[in-house]
Amino acid sequence: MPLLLRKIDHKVKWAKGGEASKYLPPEQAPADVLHDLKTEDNRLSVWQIEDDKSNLTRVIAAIVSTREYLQKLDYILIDFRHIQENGLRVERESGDTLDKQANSWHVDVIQLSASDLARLANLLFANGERVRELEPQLLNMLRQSVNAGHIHEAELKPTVAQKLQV
Amino acid sequence: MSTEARIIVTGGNDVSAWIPLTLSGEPRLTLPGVTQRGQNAITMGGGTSIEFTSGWTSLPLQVGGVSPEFAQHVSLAPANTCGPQTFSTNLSATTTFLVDTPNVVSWAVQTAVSNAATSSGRERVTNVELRVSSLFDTADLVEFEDGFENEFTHRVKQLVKTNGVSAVAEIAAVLFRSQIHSELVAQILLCLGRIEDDATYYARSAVLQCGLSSLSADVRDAAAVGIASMSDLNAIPSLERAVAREIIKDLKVDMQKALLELKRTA
Repeated sequence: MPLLLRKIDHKVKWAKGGEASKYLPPEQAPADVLHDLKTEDNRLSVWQIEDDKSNLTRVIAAIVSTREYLQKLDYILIDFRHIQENGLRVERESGDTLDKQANSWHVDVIQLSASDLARLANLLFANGERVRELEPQLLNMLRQSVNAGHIHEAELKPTVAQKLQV
Repeated sequence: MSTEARIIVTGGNDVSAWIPLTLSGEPRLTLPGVTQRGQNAITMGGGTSIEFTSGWTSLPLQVGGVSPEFAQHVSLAPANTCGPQTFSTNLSATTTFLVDTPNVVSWAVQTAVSNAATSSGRERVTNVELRVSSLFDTADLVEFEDGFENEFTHRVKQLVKTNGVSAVAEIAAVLFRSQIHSELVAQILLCLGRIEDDATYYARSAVLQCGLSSLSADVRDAAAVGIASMSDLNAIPSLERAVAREIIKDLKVDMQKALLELKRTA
């Protein structure tokens, strides 16, 4: 079963044992995590990752390929089974990164209601693996994609391209 | 005649404090080997009159917690109110305040000397204060996203690059007031961590190290990431202490990762 990757910006808000754990049941996500689940047209952007994670590095490189700086990337990985079992639907929607093939691994969770989104937040919170990559790892992954010809260096933001050359 | 300076006292296990300092009379600030990295003490002459004003709530307790030497030699007002407080004291004798973050002291003293030495120093600082104040006025309108600068972070960067350490000090003074939302503090710390500017390197690192002691997990997290971005090896002890006292497991792991990156740089 594949995995789904959701990029987040506030990893610490997803941490178990944080301030919210003093007053919320352990399986319930704090409301603040909804900042990281911003929808558009009731769709939530996620990436499909192979069950052996063989495309994970490439997807991460693709995600950061449009960035102006690579300080950190936080994301959550969750087994697709949890999405299916909870009746949430996904639809393929091409990503918007500099890696054209990686864009085909982008999907949206669709037709979300507000309560669906809260349920999804709880699923991610209870079952997801929270991961942080810092700049050196992101640079390595991006370098791999550039060297493999998946991403054209000339298309990177100058600030990132400059770091890649160091 | 009084000369205003801003001094950071950093130390202890729990808190750090920014203390705007007014020295009445001729300031007698001496610091043996001030330019030497790793220097960790500040000495003030006996009889120096000091006035403290702080935006911190319950400042005296926090200062007392910061540095035992500080509490021993300075009489502090009781901490029975919240919000900005002002109080004065006289040093009874030449006093050395120990600070456990290298470079912080030399930076603070350099700032003090710089402000005292130039007649326009106060004017310059006021100008920076105004710019920083106006900067924070616009912060509520901004949306932050990892990897992308916005108008606010562009302005922070420009302010620091144009005004140097004065701007960093002023931003920090506003930053650690309790009224500032922790998300905004975190974003500014991340921004300070990625500015490429040698002139403010140690000042920015000092502010990030202060952030490690914040009561807010968001701020502690951002401070650790910012420190990793700066690759300041002098910050390793601060980060090690932050890892040791962190109670949120996920955050502790992330701090350890930042620490590992920093040590790998070494």
